[in-house]
Amino acid sequence: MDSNQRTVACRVQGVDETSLPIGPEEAFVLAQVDGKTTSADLALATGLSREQLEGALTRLIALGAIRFEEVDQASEPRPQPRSEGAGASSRLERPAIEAPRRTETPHQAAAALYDPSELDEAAELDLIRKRRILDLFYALDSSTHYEVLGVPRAADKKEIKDAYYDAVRQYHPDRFFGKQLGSFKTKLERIFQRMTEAHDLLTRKKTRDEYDAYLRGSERNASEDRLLSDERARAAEVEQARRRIEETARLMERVARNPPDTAPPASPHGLAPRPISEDERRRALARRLGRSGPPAGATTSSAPPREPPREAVAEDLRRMWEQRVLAARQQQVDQYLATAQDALKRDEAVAAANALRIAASLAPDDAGITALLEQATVRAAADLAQSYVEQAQYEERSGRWLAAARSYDRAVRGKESPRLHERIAHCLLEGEGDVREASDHARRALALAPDNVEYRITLARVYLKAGLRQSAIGEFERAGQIAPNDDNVKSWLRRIKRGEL
Amino acid sequence: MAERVIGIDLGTTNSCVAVMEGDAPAVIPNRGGYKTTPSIVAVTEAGKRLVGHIAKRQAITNAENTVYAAKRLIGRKFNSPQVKNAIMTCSYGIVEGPHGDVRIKLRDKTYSVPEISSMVLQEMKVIAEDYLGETVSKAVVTVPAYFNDNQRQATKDAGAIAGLDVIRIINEPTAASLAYGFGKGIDKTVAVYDLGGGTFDISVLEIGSHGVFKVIGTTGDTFLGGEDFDARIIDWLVQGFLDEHDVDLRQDRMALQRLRDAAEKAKCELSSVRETEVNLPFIISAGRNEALHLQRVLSRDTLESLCEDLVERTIDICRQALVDAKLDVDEIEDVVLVGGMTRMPAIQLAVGDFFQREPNRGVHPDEVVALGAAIQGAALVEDKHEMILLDVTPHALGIMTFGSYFEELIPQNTTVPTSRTKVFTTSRDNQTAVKILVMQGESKKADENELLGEFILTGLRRAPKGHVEIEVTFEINTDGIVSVNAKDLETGQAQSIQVTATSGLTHDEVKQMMASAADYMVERRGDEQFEAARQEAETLMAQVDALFPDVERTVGGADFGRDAVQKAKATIERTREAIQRKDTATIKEQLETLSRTERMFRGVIGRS
Repeated sequence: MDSNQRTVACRVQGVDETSLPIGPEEAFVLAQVDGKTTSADLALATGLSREQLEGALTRLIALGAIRFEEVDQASEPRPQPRSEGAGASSRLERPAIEAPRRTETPHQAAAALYDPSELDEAAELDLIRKRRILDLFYALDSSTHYEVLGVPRAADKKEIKDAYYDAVRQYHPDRFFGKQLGSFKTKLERIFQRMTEAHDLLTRKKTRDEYDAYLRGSERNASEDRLLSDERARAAEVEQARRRIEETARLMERVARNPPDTAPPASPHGLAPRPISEDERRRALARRLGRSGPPAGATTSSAPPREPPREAVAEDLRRMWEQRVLAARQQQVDQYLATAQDALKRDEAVAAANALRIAASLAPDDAGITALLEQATVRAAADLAQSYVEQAQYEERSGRWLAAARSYDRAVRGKESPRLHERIAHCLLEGEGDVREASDHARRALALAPDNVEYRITLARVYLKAGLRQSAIGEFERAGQIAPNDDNVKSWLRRIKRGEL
Repeated sequence: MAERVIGIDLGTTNSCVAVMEGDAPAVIPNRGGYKTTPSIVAVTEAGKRLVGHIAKRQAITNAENTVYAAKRLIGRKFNSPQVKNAIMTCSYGIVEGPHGDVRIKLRDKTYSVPEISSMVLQEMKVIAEDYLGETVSKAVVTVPAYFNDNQRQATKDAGAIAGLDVIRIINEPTAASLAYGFGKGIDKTVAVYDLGGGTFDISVLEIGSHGVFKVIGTTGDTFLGGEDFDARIIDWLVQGFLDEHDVDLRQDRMALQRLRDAAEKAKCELSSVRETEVNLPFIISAGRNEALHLQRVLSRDTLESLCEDLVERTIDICRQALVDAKLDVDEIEDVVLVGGMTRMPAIQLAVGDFFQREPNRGVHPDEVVALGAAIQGAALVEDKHEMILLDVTPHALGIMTFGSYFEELIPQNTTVPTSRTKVFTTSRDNQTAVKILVMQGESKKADENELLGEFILTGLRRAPKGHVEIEVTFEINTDGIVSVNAKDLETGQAQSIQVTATSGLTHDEVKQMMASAADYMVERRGDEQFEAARQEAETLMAQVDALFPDVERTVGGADFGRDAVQKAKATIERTREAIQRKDTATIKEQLETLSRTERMFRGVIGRS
């Protein structure tokens, strides 16, 4: 590879961004792609983690929105990452310094997906086609069915079929009949197989509906997960809320100094208090959370002091300011409580918990909010766990065992259950995953439900897999003691006796 | 330009060959001018091999050495019920081969079924070569969609024996759909109803205007076809004769052959007329110097009632095909009829009723499959890529597991190429080899499915059971042919093994048969040259012979004349001897002398 060459991401002309099935993260990355920035610089510019960036780039490549190109360094002097950021850094929310920095090599973006030496394999294919095959092939696992076919989520049946037919004409192995393809042949077959799977699934209403529900569910789970765990984002929002409180307090001060002729001014942030009293709101919230709320009429420490000013003007002003800040804070807290209530109305416990958490940060001394937050957090975790179970079940049905194991694992963190542990072990077993992890979960399932025969068989099978034959036989025999008439147990014991295991 | 690829429809009763000419496929007529050639092979008393129309014509007098419908036996095992059934009804001898396969005895020699089929393929190859004036070595050959891997492999072997590189095996109904939809910008979901001489297939396809033909589902019955309709007529005739004369015509092979011909003829006639007479005088001898005649009128109504259940069976299979394809009958936008049997009005009616639409009559039922094969052949080797065919595997693929159960890996109607991977472990301590039984079929019980091959992976590390993991990948390629790759996960050592579907022949046998078929080709080509030279020589000799009296009279006693006549007579003598010896080279040498003599004689007579 020429050291004067470097690989940059370019936008593909004529792609309608608005029709792409992408999320904010990809859109953000896409906005930074200018045909000059390398992937390492993109990491700096976007402040995303390497993993996030690679994921976004992979999806954008799969969608045909961007491609990687080599440019000559001589004609295009390589900008220093720091100074180059002048344009982009204004958009940065997070300090660029946090982005991981690696020594830059050409093809780095490509290297993230596959070893560029694969392009050197002898095959009767031109370089462009080789690259397209590899780009597609290595994105197969991380792409949705829509991405594999390069169609938007809203695509109708005809669009999906057309996209599939076009893809088939390009990637069906017969297209290269009689040509020496080397390992590209198998890759083409896999690409074709996956495209066919995507087409077959998306052109049948029932399977597409199920898949869409699964996609929505897993995306929501991921974003809710992020919402619950992303302390930094929450801190940023709390910070923003604090700024808003200050601004509002200043505004109140200005209004107090120059009273307008007309009626009270509209709040600049649309934060005018609602006609519902705070107590009412708390009680409603508590009802939705299924517990009795804080005692009615319990006052909060946020009530402004009522003493009239009598000392120095400065002292007076300070107190006035404090009062205004308190009032503004109350407004913000109310706003978040309202958001939480709305979220609960939509059964979005995670969003509610997030709003309540911010409210609690703003009013840390409010015991009522803390109590509500605790309840909401418990419910959010349970809800999320349930959604993850649904996601895992779909993945299990599609034979994506390791993905299912991950989702079950995520669910069990929100809701401890022997069944979930057993499912993790089972999926790891089927998907040839980590045996140690599988045995951990199988054992935990049994610790919670020692008399469950099914769980014990799973543990025994994990032991078999791990090569711990004696332990496995022990577990099968114990299962036989617990349920001497279980057919499944009997069949396993028979196989042991015949020496088949 | 890439080498021409011919498309061959290797049918149960008739075969057809086609080639792309420009942008359109065309059927190549045989030397008799017919577009289809009977798939019949015979060996005469003199040991001469006959294929096609000539074999069909002599079938009555040489019934025991005439093979028809060999396709019904191809790729099957001797002890299968289908072969048992064929032994009962066929006039030729069926014996067991060395691998439990089927062999056919003709005169004093036994032939494998692929060899018999290769004779038909070779005939089709020669037809194409004569027409194109060039050697042909590549072909796309069609098989019934419901053929299993063994039957496909056996068909490929037949091609190899015939000296043809079969670059692709495609399914008959799919081929038909290519001919139906190719280059017409059609964008439809269609059903192809293919009732041939021996097999029935129904396929459902989506044809995209982009030139993509995607099969959604295919199913069928490899033992349901025109021959079964013929058999019903034969039964009816035999029973009637038995009732009338108390004589069982089945006991007489020659009578049976005549009945077979008459039944087929009557069946065909009843597609256009309401009734026909079966007239077979002297069908069988009855005592001294006496013979019985068979004479009976068969009406279309009678035929339809005789075959009602057969027609119904095809409709049941159509129903199943729609269920498999997850389609409602009103989602089928056109129905294409393929195979000679679809000329039968009762079938057209039943198909129309079931699909709630008039079947398409735009394609020629006997030629459309070969045309489609030619289209696919050209699409593969030419660089235009106008068409891509996406076919499915007609049978589920899996392995036999503990307890003799069938574990499905690739389900039925999966678009090919496709692959599935599964990890297996050893089941005994210190096991150094694993045996995997690869099977094809729909039954949960392994023994009800077709065994494709036994797969033994050797050289495993010695270890306690369960410790050695072997990743096995099942693959079906675009030919629908299965291969299995095995990889020892620990060492990363890979072994790639093609499941040699048991066509009934070993690799060496196929090679040996190829060699002897090639010998036969040389022999046959030689025959043709000899025949041509002989005819030319005979003509010239007759002309010279006819001139002798005039020449002798003209030259009188002149020495010159006597000399010339003597020489001419010697030439004729030499030529006759050469013809006797089948010495083509000498005949050719003499041809020039003969024609010179003839010119000279005419000159002598003219001068006088």
